[in-house]
Amino acid sequence: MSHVSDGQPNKLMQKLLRELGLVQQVASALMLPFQKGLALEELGQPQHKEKMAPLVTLMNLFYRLLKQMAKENLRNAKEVYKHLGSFRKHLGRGVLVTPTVKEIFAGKRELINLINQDLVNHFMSLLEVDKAPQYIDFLMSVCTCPEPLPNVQVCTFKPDFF
Amino acid sequence: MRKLDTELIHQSSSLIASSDMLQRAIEGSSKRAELIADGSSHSILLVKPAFKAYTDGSPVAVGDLVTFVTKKTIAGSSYCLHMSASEELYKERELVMRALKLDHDYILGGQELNFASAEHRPTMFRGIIFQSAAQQDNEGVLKGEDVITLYHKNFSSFLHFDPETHEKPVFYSSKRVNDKARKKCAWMWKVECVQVTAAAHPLKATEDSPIRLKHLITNMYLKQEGSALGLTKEYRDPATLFSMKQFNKYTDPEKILHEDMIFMRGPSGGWLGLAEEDDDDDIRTVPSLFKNVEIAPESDALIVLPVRPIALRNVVQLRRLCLTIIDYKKELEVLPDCQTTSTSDPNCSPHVFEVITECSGGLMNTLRNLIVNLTWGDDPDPMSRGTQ
Repeated sequence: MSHVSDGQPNKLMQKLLRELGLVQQVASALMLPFQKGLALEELGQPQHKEKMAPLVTLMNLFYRLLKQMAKENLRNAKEVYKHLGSFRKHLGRGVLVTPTVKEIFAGKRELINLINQDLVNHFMSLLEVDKAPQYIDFLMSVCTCPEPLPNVQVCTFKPDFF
Repeated sequence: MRKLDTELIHQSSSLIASSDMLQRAIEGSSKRAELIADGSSHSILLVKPAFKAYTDGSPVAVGDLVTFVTKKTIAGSSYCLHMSASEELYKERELVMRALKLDHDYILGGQELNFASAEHRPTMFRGIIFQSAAQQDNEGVLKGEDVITLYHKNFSSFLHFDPETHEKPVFYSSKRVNDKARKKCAWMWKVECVQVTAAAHPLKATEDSPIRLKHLITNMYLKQEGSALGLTKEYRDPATLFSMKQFNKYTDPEKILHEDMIFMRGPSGGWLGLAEEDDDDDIRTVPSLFKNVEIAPESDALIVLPVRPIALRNVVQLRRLCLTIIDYKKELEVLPDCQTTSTSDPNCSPHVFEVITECSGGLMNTLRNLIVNLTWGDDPDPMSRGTQ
């Protein structure tokens, strides 16, 4: 019997969690610590690593939960997409936002068509700071669905970058 | 019979009470009691008389005082079902709320049910009949505490409430009437009898048998608000009392069967139906309207459709997990807002870390559970899920 690490999404559970309003609750839970006194700038900084460790663990799990909810599920992905503006504040801070953002768009043409230059530029700027593979992976994944998408390809084309 | 091997099954969730010998309860020296799906050897409890005046083997009547002792011993000791009297729990309502995964203004406080060493003075329990076995076997009869959906046959729509999309309950058009298809959370309503002693009794379709309908996932009660439906947390509000009437005048009003057609009458006397004018752009929904006419309009008959136990169990279990996340969010929300610059506010941030530390244990378990169960893979580690 083969070992399947992740497997197909549990569609019923995805649906029930959406109906229970979980996306909204998780989005609020991710933002609240920074509205109540924590500095976003300290997240992901080595000197604050120990202090922020419990919060980082929780945020990793929250983002992984959102990723699994959006997996191969357009309606859930649309719900998560509504909070993309807030999630972008956490990009590049080591809390697994990029895989979640990638999952929102993965194979969902309706949402990929909403990708704009601003989002692509954000990932480009992250790449300039840190040449991490997940950013390239995200840009690669949104260029196809599964056939090439010229609109997004044009957004990601920046001759002077490379 | 006394000294009978028993299992305590929670009626609503079908979970079995069991002692977790590895987990310490909130009350220091005791073991944690838990509700688990299939029971274990620690779920088997002996019913023993509370006083030695009775002998083992004599019959137990309703109202008798008994104790529940685990049949299996751990390190030579038996444990008995015990209600704590913890000072800490008296003072800290939040601890009780967190353990219950519930937050309702009516819950003023609580104590912990755990398993204490049987060598100490055991807690005595008095059994009161909630539902007789004869009624439980009454398959297909609508009883108090049942979870149902109400389907408006003429408009082919379910009574629906989703606070994200509509402020008030509406009728939501859907053809998903099949037994397996009607599992939308927003359609599930729990029927509650007004009298606690008749909690799980069969319901009657008569004017003098009022009921309340509680929306399962929001814990809000349906009420008449003017000429339409509304919701409230205040279950003592007289506007939450509805009565039912059989559609078919030849049907026995003393009981309502699943899939019976009924009329719902509001506390002010109007019959529940559909409004003729829709005030939003959503073509799938129609607002409710109480019609003050003497005879109920036949077009407004509702069908009582039960929810499958498996669908109900999924919703109840997931909702309990979601409440852990909501609890964490609420704990943070009550903290004052703080303006931060590039460093954390030294006055506010300790409170945030305090909440994170307090909630992280239960929260992490919940998140891991949800992540692992959201896909059908084999990997038990939530963080490596979805990374292949």
